[in-house]
Amino acid sequence: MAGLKRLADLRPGEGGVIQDLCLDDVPPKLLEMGCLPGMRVTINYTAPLGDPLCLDVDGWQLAVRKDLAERIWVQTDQD
Amino acid sequence: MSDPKRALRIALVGNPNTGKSSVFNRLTGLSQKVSNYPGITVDKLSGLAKLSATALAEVIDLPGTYSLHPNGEDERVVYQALVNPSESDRADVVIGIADGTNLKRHLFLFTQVLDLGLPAVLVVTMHDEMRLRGQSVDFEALGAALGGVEVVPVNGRTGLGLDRVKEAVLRAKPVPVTDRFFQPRKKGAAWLDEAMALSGSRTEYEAWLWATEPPEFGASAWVQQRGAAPDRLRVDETVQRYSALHRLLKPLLHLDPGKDLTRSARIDRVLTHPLWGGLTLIAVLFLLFQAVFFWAEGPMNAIDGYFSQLGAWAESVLPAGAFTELLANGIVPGVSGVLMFLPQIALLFFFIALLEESGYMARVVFMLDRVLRPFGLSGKSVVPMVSANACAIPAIMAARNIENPRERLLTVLVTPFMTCSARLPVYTVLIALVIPKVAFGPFDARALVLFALYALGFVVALGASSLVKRFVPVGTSAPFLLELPRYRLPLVRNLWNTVFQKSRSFVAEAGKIILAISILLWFLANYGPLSSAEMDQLDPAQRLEQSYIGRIGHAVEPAIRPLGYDWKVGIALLSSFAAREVFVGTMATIYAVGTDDLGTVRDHMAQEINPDTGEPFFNLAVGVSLMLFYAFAMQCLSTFAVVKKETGGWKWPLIQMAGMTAFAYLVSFVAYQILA
Repeated sequence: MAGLKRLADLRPGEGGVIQDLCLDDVPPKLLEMGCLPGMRVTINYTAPLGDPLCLDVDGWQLAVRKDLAERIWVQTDQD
Repeated sequence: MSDPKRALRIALVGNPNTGKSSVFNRLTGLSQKVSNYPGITVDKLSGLAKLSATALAEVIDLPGTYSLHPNGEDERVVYQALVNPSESDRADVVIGIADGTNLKRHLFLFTQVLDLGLPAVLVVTMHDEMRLRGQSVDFEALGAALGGVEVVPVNGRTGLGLDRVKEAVLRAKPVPVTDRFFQPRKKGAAWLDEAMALSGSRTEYEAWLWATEPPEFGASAWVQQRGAAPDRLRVDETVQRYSALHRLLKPLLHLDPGKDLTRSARIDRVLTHPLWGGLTLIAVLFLLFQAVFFWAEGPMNAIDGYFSQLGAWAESVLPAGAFTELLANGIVPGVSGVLMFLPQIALLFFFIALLEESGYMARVVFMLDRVLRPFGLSGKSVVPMVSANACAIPAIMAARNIENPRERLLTVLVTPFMTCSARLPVYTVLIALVIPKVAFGPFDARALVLFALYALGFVVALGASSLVKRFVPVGTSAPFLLELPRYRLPLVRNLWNTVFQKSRSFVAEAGKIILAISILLWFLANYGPLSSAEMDQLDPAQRLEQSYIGRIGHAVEPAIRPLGYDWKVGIALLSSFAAREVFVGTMATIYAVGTDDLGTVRDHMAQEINPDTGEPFFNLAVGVSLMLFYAFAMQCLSTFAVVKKETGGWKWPLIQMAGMTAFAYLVSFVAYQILA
């Protein structure tokens, strides 16, 4: 389904473009590592218990915990 | 440069996993040394590099970071080395290391350095990987776009390109600070001039960094009073800088779209798979333990044997006297006690370096994070907890990688429950003494008990963590952000350097304490309130009883009676505070006295009779009680010292020691009372 989704709700292989981030929710380090609004991220795979998630960001892999991924909204690809 | 006589000081700055250490190792070879930054626990790695026939430079390998805005103690070092004008290690030239496959993120950090007005050279690594991925960059144009920086592609594996780096460093001049990456004035017009004056900054960006730093280092409180939000400023900078870099790189970076970029991700689908990943992890850990315990056994015995011969030799050649006694029975065994663990620790460091260099360690952390979190720990607690099976001291230092202060503290507090190798000799002697040699199917009862003790250490560590976490405030939540680097074949040179550095610092750090305590114990065991003439008349067994330590042993006997111990065991317990394995040596000393035969410690201990019952003193109840005590009590002053250093005060090490020892006492008491 198209539209705005939380990154945590995507399945491996799915991705989308990061929307505005609420700065109270996400650490500045995430942005400094290149996870900025407008950047495309894809879920590569998850850890065995479904958490953390491994993201593909600009060709490299970043692991984030699910609670952080719940605070990142992305515009998904399909329409 | 402020002092013309001082050697040129070069700082290596880059993200983690960029091949920075390869470049450092190539530049400095074996001239490296590890020291401490003043006041904090971060290791400072530096070395000397010959830049030309006449120029020698000091190279400092700064911790890997993604930004000059520090996120932890390690990263603060980078900030201070480059920004703080009072920092004596302030760099003259910066070598920025960037992974060519991910230039944008690496240039984010590098342009921050350029904005400080420091002379800099950019080294681009991994261009073989870039070629595989169909990426190419016009390096010359990149250098021009960065304002006239020399950009040198380097192959960390072969060292190709390093000569050019050295030449470039000698030529490097401050790049004129432009506002093409970031304009501090735009966001900070209201306070920037004042900040520059107050901080004595030389560039606008330096003042900006200072103004957004927390109070210990900068002036975030000051800037807040002027109506600005430091975190917001930091984000503004990030957004602006990234979009500038996006524009800068677009015409320079060429992508061949047909290439597959996902090799590591595909490997990971197997290696982090719930089943295959789990099995691989178990196999890797099994191999690690196998290596640490069985491969190290030979060298450990050899070192032990060598030192006992050395002690005996010293005693036979040197004139008899207090000094010879001290040397042969205090210092030599003390040194031996430290060096004996070296093979095991070196092997452990080797395996951990192998796992880290190859990129697999990040996957272990990734897989176990969710498993360890309910206990208040992080996936990153894995490295300390695994290391602690050799020795808690380097393990506790390894906890520095955990960003979240609470998870880090909990890791530091529970790591000593893991079964370190110093407990092994204690277990070995006691198991042989009290556990009968019977088999349950294919399993030997003694092996099962030993395994159970290891498992117990781990389980209790987790339990203790979930208990203690209730009392540790959540505090600032540092995020768990973990880069999963590409899999790479580890470089032998890097592995060797890591093993060498870490082993050396273990010997130096732990060695000092263990040696000092060994000497103290020797003194306490050989001198007492009686005059030395009176002491000389006693036989060795009485002499021990009359020594200071014998008196102390008697003094603590009432307290340890309920656990089934007598004053002799009390002496062993007390001397174990130097290092647990001293138990065996102390037992050997105590029980060897008065007997002439050359039997083993175990024989002597087996012959010890409990005067109350007439039965052997070391029965199942006493043995189990002692093993449990050694499993849980914090009997290691070196660990205590490291915990104090790492937590920055007396509070936590004291709580840890009291808590662990009380728990050990309770468990041993219950076990003894049930079994006796």
